[in-house]
Amino acid sequence: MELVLRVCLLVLLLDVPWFWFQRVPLQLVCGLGLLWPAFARDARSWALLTVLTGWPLFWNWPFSDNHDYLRAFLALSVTLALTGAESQRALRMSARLLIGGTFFFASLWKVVLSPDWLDGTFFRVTLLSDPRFHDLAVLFGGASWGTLDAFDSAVTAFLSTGSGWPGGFVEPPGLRPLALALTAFTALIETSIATAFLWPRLGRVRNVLLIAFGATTFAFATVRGFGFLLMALGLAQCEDDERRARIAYIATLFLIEAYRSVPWSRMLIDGLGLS
Amino acid sequence: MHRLPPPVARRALVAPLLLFGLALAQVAGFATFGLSPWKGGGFGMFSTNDHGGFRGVRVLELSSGGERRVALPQSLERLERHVREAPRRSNLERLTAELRRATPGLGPLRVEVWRTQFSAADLTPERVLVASLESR
Repeated sequence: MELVLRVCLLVLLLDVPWFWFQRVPLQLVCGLGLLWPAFARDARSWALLTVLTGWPLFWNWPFSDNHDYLRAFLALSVTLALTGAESQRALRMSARLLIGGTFFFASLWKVVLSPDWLDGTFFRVTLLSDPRFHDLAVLFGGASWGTLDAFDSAVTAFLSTGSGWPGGFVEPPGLRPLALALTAFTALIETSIATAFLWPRLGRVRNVLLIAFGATTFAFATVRGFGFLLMALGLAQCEDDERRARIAYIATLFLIEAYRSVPWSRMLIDGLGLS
Repeated sequence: MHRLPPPVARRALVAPLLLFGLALAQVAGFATFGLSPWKGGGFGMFSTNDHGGFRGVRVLELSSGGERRVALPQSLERLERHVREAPRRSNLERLTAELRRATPGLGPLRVEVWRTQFSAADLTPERVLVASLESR
């Protein structure tokens, strides 16, 4: 439980809200908890953290991202776990259901509700328009920087002028297969994680799936905060005898940070002469 | 996994139930008033191209001679983004009221919120109306 509390505090300290008046109090309380273990074990500290992670959701409505909500749910889970007996077991169950719920709704949106995800259109557009995915498009989709610039200019003109599509943009042939592969992989791993964490009898594959998700998805989708929270929740739901899984969750948490801070994909592009 | 005693289980279920409740409300918001799938705590990020970057708000002044696009002042930027992400009728009404306050003398107005839909064949985009409101 000590380790889980410290990792949760570290994650809340590193992944903070945008506005300084929401960020600074949260970092102060997390810092106190990391320096003073008795403070970290006190349910009142976590109640304060729940308030500090929860009120920005109302203040920023509707702009908060998904992981902002998950951050508040994590703080609430720890608070309630620490208010009574068997806190570790209570937190374990909460964390498992939070992960299951997150991936259940992520899968529901992608596979059932979205009109443009299953056919690969979402990834085809995202690979071309979202700078976080540009390296992936160049490395494995056969896109050139010129193609990405051309799409960006055409979309910007379309959105800002209210005119029609200028045309003339040609999608690289390798982009569609890459988008379909990403769609298939994401559908498979996210629905598998949802099932494994919500279905009580699939305990053995839970950790493998979530760690695989963290180690692969965040290599390009550098949404650090979401990755951190998932690894902290993964750690929190580990059984007592799952020591290797706990180590793997912490290692993956640092790997997610390394993905963001080391420009490895750009170095690979340069090394392969694709720049 | 061993069964948890009921008081422990109740404590453990509060946050997950909130997550499920909020996510269901977000889906309902999308279905009823066009809430952005990426916002509202429903875990719809990275599931569709219908997000703020590909949505737009347009205000038109209506007259007998036709329609004229009205530029939104910088002071209404946050409200404009709010309308874009959550185009509820009350938000559209607030935007027109604030615009009239900032730009006196405007005639009848129509506020429109659009999203962009990309063709699965060749990625050609087209605008799809999400919500609109006329105000006199």
